[in-house]
Amino acid sequence: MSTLSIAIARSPMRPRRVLLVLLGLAAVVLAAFFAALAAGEVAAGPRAILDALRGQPDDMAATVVAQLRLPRAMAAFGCGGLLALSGALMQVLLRNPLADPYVLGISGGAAVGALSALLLGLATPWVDGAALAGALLSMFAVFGIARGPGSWTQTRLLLTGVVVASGCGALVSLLLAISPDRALRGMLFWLMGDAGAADRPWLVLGVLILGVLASLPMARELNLLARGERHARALGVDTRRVATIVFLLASLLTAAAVTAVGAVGFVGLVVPHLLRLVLGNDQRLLLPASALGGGGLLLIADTAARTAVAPLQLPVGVLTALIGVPLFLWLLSRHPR
Amino acid sequence: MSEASPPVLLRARGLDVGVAQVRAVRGLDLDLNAGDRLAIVGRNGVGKSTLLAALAGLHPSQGELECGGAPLARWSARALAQLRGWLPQHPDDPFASSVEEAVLVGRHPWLDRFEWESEDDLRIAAEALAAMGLVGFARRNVQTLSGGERQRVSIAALLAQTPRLYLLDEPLTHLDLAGQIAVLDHFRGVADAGAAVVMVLHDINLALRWASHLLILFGDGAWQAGPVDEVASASVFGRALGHPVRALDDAGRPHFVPA
Repeated sequence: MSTLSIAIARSPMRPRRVLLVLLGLAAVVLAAFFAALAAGEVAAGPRAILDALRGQPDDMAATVVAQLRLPRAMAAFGCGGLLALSGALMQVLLRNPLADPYVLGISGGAAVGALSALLLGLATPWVDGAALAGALLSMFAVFGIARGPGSWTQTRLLLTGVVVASGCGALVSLLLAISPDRALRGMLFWLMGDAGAADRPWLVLGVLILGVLASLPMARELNLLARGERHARALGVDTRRVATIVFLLASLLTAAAVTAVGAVGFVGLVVPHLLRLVLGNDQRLLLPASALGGGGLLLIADTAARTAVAPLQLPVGVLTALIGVPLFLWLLSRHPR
Repeated sequence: MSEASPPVLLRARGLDVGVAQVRAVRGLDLDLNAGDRLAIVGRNGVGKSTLLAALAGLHPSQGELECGGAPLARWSARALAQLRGWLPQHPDDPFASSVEEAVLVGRHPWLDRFEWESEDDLRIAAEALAAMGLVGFARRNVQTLSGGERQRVSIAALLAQTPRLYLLDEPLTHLDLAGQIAVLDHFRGVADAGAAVVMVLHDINLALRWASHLLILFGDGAWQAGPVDEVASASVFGRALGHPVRALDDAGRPHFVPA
């Protein structure tokens, strides 16, 4: 953690600065959206893209954009935003910059649910439903056990989550081992994550918007929670209530992302961290910026994953890591102590 | 303490405070009025921090505990945070933050949910930093500060909170002599301006120099409290600190040293 200590030459956060940063990020996201809609085997010009966005696809390129690329781009953006927002919330909740959305076993539970459904040969909606049920089940298991008879500490929550996550990992291995070969391919695709498989992109985007709106009113309280539970309580924060809401919110956001696209790694851990290096740790900026930044990163990664070595499609999680790792290391080296 | 029905900032009657096997106080009676400076003295592990947290309403206690004339449980968290401030013993910073941001958290109870820190809040934070000798530190990262500097940032955050009852858990930790005296002098002024200040202190001579009242914890719930002159004696300190103490004469004032 001390490696991340940087000299801070920042004035305190003002609303105008928050707005400017978010507008800048939104511009990047918009550019990434158009690139995602334009790129691919069937090249789509601005004309075709506008036609598709207006809902009047009258040629092949516009149809491809409207039916394939737009839903996929929205799902990728929504999922990346959900994971990064959830990661930012988890990092504050656990007061640990190394926490990510999966650390408390949400994705493990989802994977167990989805793979069980695939093993039984159920149809896609049932697989999604099983993934969501698995995620919620592990969420409530962690919540119930960590809460215990009254005491709620970050360490206890973290340990419970890690243990539940590794238990889910073992179950996933078991399911893979006992599955017939014909089911294995679908299972592996599910585990790697695939934005092309998301069939309700509007829902993902909607959940992301609700998540940002739900977390922003708590942003200043989260700033205090990051400095210590008791200290926050002394300053008037109902930490038990805030921690419970944040835990449930972050878990639900993760469950939505994992159900829609799959357990894409790296975004939830690194995007909040990376933005924190540049923007500071004021949650009033960091939370919405994480949603935009995570969405943008996964959108760019997904576009690269399906075009880089077309017609072959790369797992998008590999791409997020390949883009994120050098960027992150460069930022770290730019801020020596 | 003082006359003409002064505002009682903190009132405890028959207060029991403990954690696990440690009983900090049993049946504590305590009144703190504006202008009072109370030092809490006792051995390691006797429950000083637990007692302080209980007085702040951050740790459960049995008995009567009133703050500003109303039972502690009756206060909303925000209103209580505007009235009483608490200095934590071990600040730790998992995330980078500027000194200014760390001090501005003290303004939290004074801001509405969607309100941003105003120019007034920034000025209050700057004054708190200046009071702790931290002019020019505003943009430093708290993670790069020395222990003493970090401690003064915590105290500045407490000052920025502008409560009327200050509860400080070992505020002199990591401070050099000049820093210790500066903090004690500053909080003498804070008390004179109408606040009540409680400190957990380890150095009994600094406690005597600063405090108007002492609360001595002997362990196992036993305690003794009162004006400094009535409580301070070699036998009391010897019993409380677990090592015999004798008094030297320092220009008419007692100075206590290990026997």
